[in-house]
Amino acid sequence: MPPERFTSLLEAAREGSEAAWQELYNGLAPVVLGYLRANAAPDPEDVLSEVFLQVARDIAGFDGEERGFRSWVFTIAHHRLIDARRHSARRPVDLSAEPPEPRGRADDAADEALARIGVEEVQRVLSALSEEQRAVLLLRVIGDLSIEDVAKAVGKRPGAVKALQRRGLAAVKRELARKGVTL
Amino acid sequence: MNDVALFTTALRAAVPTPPDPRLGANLVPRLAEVARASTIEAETQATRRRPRSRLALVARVGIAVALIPLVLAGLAFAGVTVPEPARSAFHSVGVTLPNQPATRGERSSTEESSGLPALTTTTETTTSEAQSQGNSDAAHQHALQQRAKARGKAIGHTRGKAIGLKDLTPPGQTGETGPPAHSNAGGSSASHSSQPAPKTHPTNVPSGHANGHSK
Repeated sequence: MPPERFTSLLEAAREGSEAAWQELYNGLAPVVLGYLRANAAPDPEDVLSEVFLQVARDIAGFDGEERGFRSWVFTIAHHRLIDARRHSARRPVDLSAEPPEPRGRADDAADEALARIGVEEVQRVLSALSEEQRAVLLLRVIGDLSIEDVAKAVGKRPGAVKALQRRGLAAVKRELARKGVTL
Repeated sequence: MNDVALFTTALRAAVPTPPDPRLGANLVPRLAEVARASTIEAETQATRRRPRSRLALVARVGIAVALIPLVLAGLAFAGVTVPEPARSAFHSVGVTLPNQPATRGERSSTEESSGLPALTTTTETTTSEAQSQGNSDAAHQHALQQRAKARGKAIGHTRGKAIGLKDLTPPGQTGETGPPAHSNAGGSSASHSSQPAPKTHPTNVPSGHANGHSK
């Protein structure tokens, strides 16, 4: 999205335009929900609602471009995820309990096929990672956040985030090799 | 493409999931409403804050200014001598700070108002006057002691010892005047004679200096 277009969209959203909010929601809700589900958030759609409500409450104070907005939304999502986990304080992560439904991409059959073939395996590999490694990898890959943004979101130093990412990718590689999976 | 790159591609494709359409239908109008309300609230707060902050600044300055005389008065009560401008400022509004030495202005005004010297009008001025007299008396006595000491030395001198030459006449007896009058070399030629020198006092001694001073 061109910067001017995003600026006007943000301004409209601040003023309470439903159309603007619909556009923001359509653009971000799938990835945020995917992030929450992949992190085994309790009742992910409920957490998604909380995330967007907080975005709406605080949007008057936000100032930045599209990338910064995305990073800000994912930071809120991560904090709400932690809150939801604390409130539920229940079973350990079990990603296989509620596998996500892949987003349909009818225009790209190859991606569609890749996603469908890989969904279960992706879930299995993700469940083998530690909670922090999974959060960092998902924020980097799904949220498309920089190392610095991820560090802000998870409350760690960039060096620690890099180390978590490195160890997470090594674990992914190990897990893929162990099962003999070739994607 | 290596395994990790393939995995991230699969992750990007697999993880994003569309939420329930009913959730979006319910949530989006609420989001718009909440955003509108919070924006209005933020604007209202911003407009309210400005005059409040100005008022607070004025109040702070006023409090600080009002505290200055209180602090000075507190210091005076504690026995600290406050500067003369502050004292005179208090005096001009009719407030006399305690534990303060009398100023010249106060003294003269007291004298003018009562027609009597300040020494006899108030005990405060008497005390301060006595203090200043005591100081000058002590200095005067010290000066007299120094003079007497010098005179005693001079009296105890023998001829030769005083001059250092046996056969020569001391300067006091030959009409020489000795050290110049302005010299502080231990007294004039008169002090060498057996008669005591007439006591001389500085001419610029204030009238009150005689108090408590025995000659």
